Amino acid sequence: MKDSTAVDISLMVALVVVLALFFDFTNGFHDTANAMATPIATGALKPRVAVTIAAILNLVGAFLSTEVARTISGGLIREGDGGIQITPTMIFAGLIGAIMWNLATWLLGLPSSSSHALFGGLIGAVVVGAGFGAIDPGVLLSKIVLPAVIAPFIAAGIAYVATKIAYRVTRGPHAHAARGRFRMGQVFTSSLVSLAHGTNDAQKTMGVITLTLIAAGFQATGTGPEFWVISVCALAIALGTYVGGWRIIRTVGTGITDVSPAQGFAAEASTTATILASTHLGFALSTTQVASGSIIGAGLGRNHRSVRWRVAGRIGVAWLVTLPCAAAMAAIAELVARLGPWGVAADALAGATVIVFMFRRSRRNPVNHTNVTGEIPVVHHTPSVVMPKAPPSIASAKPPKTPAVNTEIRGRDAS
Amino acid sequence: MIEWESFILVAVVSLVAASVIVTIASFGIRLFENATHARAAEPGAGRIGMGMARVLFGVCAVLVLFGVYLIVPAFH
Repeated sequence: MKDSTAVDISLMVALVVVLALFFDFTNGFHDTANAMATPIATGALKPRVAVTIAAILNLVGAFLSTEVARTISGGLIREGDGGIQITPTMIFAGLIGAIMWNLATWLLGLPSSSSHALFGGLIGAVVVGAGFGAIDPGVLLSKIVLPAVIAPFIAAGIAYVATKIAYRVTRGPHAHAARGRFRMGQVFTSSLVSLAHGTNDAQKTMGVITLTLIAAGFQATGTGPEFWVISVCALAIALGTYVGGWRIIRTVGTGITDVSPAQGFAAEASTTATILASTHLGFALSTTQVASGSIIGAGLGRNHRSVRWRVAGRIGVAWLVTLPCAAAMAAIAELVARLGPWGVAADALAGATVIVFMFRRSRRNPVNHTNVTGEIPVVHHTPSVVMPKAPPSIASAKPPKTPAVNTEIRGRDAS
Repeated sequence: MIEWESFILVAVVSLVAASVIVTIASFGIRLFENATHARAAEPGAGRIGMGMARVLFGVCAVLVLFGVYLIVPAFH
């Protein structure tokens, strides 16, 4: 091997590491909502406090395990002996697709699965680079597509039952005050979801970087992630979590339904139970889909009319198209990257331009810790009505088409 | 193709676990709230209820710790 190609490979590896860390960052801010949307919505945790707790737990969680990192593609891509040779260029193109999709859904405030974006990106790049034979369709269906369809329903069903229980048990003369106390419980359940997230998601990036280092010959085949890889991945996901995907938090926390503390606790308890059961009993489910499904179930459990199906439908569509869209973008990136060093440079430049464009676009209607519990653009009503503090007179003066904002005001709790 | 057995197992275990923890927390909260009101009305009242609420909250704390145990691979 000549010296000049070696330089190319180390440059490529450096590019992949930077992109992988950026993906890890978007993964963090995309998924803050899974754990922290409901405690922020019910006021159990102040927005800043919530993202800080989530960031710390993601940082700690990333150091706790490397099991997932060792099996990054989980048999989805036929890599290794007898399979295809994954090149750093394919991983580079895959990451571009995954990042683009994660940022696009963030801009739209949609809680799509970062793992699906990553797998989609890698699939798209590998199919272009090595053909359809490189993908195992059976694994794709049984490990990704079917669980994605099932996860929201199972989570919604469990959260429905849990919400019914929470409301039934706390019925009585002091129901309203009692149900407010679920806020305390929310702190614990959401922290568990954050910790579980940290032990899982940062590892996907560690796996990608390790896979690249092995592919480039910088690390021995079959070895786990090195300590510096674990550290930078942990930091990147924690930083992303702290920055907070406020748009997604708003959709999940107040867009799908108006979450009361009892519902929030029931939803988070269901999410925690489902995630822990799924990771320990060998049927992996996406945290994002479980968390969103739980909130829909919690909405149905209190009042079926309180669920905004339009928002839920948009989220559902985003889930369905995440994998193919990330795959398509990665496929284009891989086609361009195959043109050689100039292709890779064009990819990097195009990627950077789109990223800058999306961040600038997001500044037009910024969502941050100050307005995260405000109304979402889909529902048009005045912000003052949204806050639970709003007096009943304002709530009753709403136009008839406006969805009920806080059923607590309407006295269902008194039953 | 899809492992229905493990899927059903996950669904049932999740349902039972979520229901149990929500039931315990809800009863704890209900007892705590009632005891607080009883105490406000008549000092010294609601002692049993408060004690039971504390026990239930303790069970919740143990369940949270069990969750941490499940999450951290080094523990098992």
